[in-house]
Amino acid sequence: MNGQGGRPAGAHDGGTGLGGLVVAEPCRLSFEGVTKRFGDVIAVDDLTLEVAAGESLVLLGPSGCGKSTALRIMAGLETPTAGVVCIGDRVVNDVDAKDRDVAMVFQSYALYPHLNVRRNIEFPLRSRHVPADERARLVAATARSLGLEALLDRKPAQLSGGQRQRVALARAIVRHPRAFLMDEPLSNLDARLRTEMRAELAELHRRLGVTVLYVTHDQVEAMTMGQRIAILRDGVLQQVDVPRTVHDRPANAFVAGFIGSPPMNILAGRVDTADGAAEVMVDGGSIPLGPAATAALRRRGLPDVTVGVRPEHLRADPAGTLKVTVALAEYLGHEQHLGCRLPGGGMLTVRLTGTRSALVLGDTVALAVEGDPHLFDPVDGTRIDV
Amino acid sequence: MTESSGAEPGERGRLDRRGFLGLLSVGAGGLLLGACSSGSSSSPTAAFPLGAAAKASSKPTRVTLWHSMSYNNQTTLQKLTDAFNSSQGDVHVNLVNQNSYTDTLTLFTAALSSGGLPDLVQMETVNLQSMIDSRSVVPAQRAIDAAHYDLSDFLPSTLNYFKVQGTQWAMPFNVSTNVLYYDQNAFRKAGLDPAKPPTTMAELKVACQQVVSSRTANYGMSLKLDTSYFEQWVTLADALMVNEQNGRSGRATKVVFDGAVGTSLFEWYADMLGSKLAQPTSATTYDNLLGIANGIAPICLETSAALGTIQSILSGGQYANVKLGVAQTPSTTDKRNGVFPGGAGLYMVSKSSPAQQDGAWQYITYLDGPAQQAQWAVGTGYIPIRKSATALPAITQLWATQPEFEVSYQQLAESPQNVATAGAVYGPQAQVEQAINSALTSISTGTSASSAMAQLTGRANAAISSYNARVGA
Amino acid sequence: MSDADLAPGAAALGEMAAGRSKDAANGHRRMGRITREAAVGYLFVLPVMAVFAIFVFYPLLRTFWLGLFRVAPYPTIPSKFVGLSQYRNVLTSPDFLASLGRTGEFVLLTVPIGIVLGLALAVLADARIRGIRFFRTLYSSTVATSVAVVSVIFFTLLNPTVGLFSYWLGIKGGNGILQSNTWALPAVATVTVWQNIGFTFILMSAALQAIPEDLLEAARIDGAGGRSRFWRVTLPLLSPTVFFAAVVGIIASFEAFGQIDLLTQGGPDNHTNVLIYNLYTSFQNNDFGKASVLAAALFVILLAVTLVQFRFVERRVFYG
Repeated sequence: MNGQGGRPAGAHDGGTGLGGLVVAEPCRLSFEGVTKRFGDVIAVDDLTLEVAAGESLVLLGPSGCGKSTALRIMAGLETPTAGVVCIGDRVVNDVDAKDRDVAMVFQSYALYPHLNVRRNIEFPLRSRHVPADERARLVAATARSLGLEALLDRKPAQLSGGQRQRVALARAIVRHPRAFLMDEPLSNLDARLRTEMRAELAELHRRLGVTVLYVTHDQVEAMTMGQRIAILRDGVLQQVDVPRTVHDRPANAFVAGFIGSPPMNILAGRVDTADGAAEVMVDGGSIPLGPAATAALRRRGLPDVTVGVRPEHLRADPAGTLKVTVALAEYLGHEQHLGCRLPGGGMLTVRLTGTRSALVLGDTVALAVEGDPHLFDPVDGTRIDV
Repeated sequence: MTESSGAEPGERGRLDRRGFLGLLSVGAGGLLLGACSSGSSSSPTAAFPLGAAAKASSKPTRVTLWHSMSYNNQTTLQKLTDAFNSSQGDVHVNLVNQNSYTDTLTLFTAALSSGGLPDLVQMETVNLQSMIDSRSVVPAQRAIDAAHYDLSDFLPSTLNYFKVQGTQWAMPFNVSTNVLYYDQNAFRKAGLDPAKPPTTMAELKVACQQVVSSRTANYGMSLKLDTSYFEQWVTLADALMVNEQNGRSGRATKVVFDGAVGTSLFEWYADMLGSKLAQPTSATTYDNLLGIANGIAPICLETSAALGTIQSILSGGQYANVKLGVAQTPSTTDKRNGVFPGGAGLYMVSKSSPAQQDGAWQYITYLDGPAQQAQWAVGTGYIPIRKSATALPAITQLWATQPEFEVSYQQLAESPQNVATAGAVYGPQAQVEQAINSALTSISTGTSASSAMAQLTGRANAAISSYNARVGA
Repeated sequence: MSDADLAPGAAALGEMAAGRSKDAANGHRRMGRITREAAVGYLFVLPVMAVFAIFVFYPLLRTFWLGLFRVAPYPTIPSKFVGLSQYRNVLTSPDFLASLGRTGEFVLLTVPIGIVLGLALAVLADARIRGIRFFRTLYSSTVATSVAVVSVIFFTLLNPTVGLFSYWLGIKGGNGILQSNTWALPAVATVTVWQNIGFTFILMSAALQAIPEDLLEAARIDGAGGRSRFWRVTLPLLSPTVFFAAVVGIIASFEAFGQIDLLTQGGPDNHTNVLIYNLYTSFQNNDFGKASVLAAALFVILLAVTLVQFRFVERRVFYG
């Protein structure tokens, strides 16, 4: 805010130029012990999370997990029941949304239907009493950078979904805010456009270098958009880390099941360490464990364990230790998903790449597991570190 | 919708051809029906079917009366009617209350095309020319001539009002005049003699000045901005409202009250209202009477017909500080002419069967009988229109105990008979009176008397000429 | 044409010719079907059209027709055809022009104030505070009152002798508000506004609730304060409703009769004698010719207002 109250975040106060656009110095966003209750419902439960300046962090979780509430708390649209919210180094708990100098992109785009594209984009500038010539310059630059020049005189109703999305982005960008908040911005687009816009957004973030807090329920979007991903469940933060870590070393069974497509296979198992090299007994057979995993389980000393195996880590192998029956086959061109029934009735998903497998429905096959499986505590789901 | 107004059970619901056509024309003002139903008015020389009810094949002959009496007065009317119905077997009269004089005229006019006319209708005095022009009335004169009916006992004013160029169109029934109401206690407080109420407008003004200067009340009097008091004063000054001898010698074509008398009356209104000696009150409310009750203005003018209601309210004890006095309307100058009667008359309808016309006439003569008029006057506060009625015990007792009730009768009885006191007769009386009300209102809000009169004359004459053109006169 | 698709080569030509003639036959059959469907359609519309014809179009045309006649006060006297002269006379009379002027004043006194007040109450009642339901009920309660009851209440309140307002204002006797040339029309207008406020309130409340919360939140994040959000977002989005309320209000004001009849009867000195009351008085005087001309004039004016509304709605000048 640079101590200027409602004035525009200075276009010339140390911003970095980019294609005619001037961007404010990005700042960090943080939640410190933030809780939000709606009556008896706890939407956000003691959330502590920091988005570093210039970072793109994705809040991921199923619907109703509190991710949108957290975003709205950051925007100032909701007041936290407890905890501290900071933008930059300033505590903003008592700062009205209009004075927080963050931009937000809504799932519905929230374009003003009575204003044309030009007026929509310059709306935040008018709010901040930016002089007319300056406004015109900023709108033109923003429109150019997003390819909206030809649409400036149209009303939102005359635009396609992708165009509306771009206008909403332009409206956020034009005021060079200190941070962007995005609430499922791509979920109203069709699959193809979503992929396109995803790339564009990522590119935009790279160009502008701004701080982005991005909310989505789509883990693919999260993996591609976020430098880090924070996974929420029932208002509780499960794990925050870079996409690779979240994928490869999920903090618990929930994260493990939520990240990855097709989802990880989760099986109840029992450790058998009778003869040196340990293995986990599961329905349909057993999964062998490496020395490190064996050691970890030995240290733990309890027989019950939850086992996670990603579908891509299963392959058909006559020497495999799991016996299953092929019940479902989905051929996707570059890969194939098999649904395999376990003797006890459970299902295992197998992801096969490369050439089309000769397996047909009803075949009984043996599956082998590559590497160590993921191991979780069967009671609280936490990862058993190996 | 049948023409018998549904009085006879046998005829109810039977829709004859005329009734059906009438039904069709209800929404359209009866434009087309006008031509085909106009021929039914019998010529003035036709003989009245005297005795037809007695000779009727089915008895009793049913006669319907449309009236506009309020609840209290309706009770007395119903008693008289019940007595008439049980006094003989030839005629049975049914009363239908049509709510107000205005509504009665509207419904009567509508029934002229749609059917369902009554046999007898009570119409306000001012509708005389309208009723003549409607060509739907059997003049009472025909029955009077046929029966050699003796009119000598009637108070002449009451008959003369309904008589035009020698023809008695309706018979008077409920008659009243405007009188002066005042609070005797306030008079005493203001140093005025309650026994000597003002008799001229000059004295009235002096009394008002005294009330105001003694701070007895906010105003000396209430001036109801209603045409009837203006007309009363024009008549008291022996002036006329309209030309052609107040419409008595021929159809009136313009108003003539804009002469010296009318103009000075308007100036008097302007003076009284402008100097705050009088408070203006609306023509549609009884704020003038409430002014007495609430001590705002202790004097006002109002119809004598209101006396019965006023007395019953006062007897309730809510206004114990008020002692009511009633006097004749003060005259404009020392030279007092007289007043014309207000109220209503009874008209016989020409579409009714001979037996029904005869039955209606029998009923009228019953209601207008001395004993019945005495009962009517005592029950309602209207004036008994028969001189002999005033000698009956019911009236003498009333007047002895409550002399206020005699004032209106005396005022009318003392009035000389001339064209002024006969009252004006012309067609669009309602419109002209509305225009007079408007003019008086405009004076109360500061318009000068002369410009109010000029505007009024224009409006009134336009209404008369438009009406005359529409009736083809 | 599927036959032709299946028959390649030389045979196709003949097949196509056959197909074409078959198409023509189909065409005839199709037209027959369309005519039949249309006939059934008209059959369904017929009852409504009949009702409209009898109760709307016929009286309407009859009114225009009746305006060509000098109608006697009594149906027992024949009417006289006077052609357009009655239209000319009535529509150029000072009487008509004065009542038209009064109507205009009345509309100006009722419609804008009514909308502003209704909108203001709706905005107030949009607040999320405890007990707001009570206020919402209160604000919309005038919808459930009849114009006659409201008029009688106000008539009593405004009475100069016994009225509560007069008492508060320290007035005793004399001309009351309803007897004042200056204040009678504003007073009747006030009663009208009061009577209509519930309807406007409900209309505006519904429109307010239809505005997506997102837009107001977006405006808030875009730096707009409460007042700025109202003027720049809420009001523009309400504009179709405001326009609708204006048109409905204008029509209602043109047809406001009950309150005038009960409060002032067109007085004092014609100061509240609006067009509809003038029309009523003409009917009361049995002057059906003049009344018809006035009714026709009223119809044309309201038709014009309605057409303006349709035009605007059709063009969607607001947004969307």
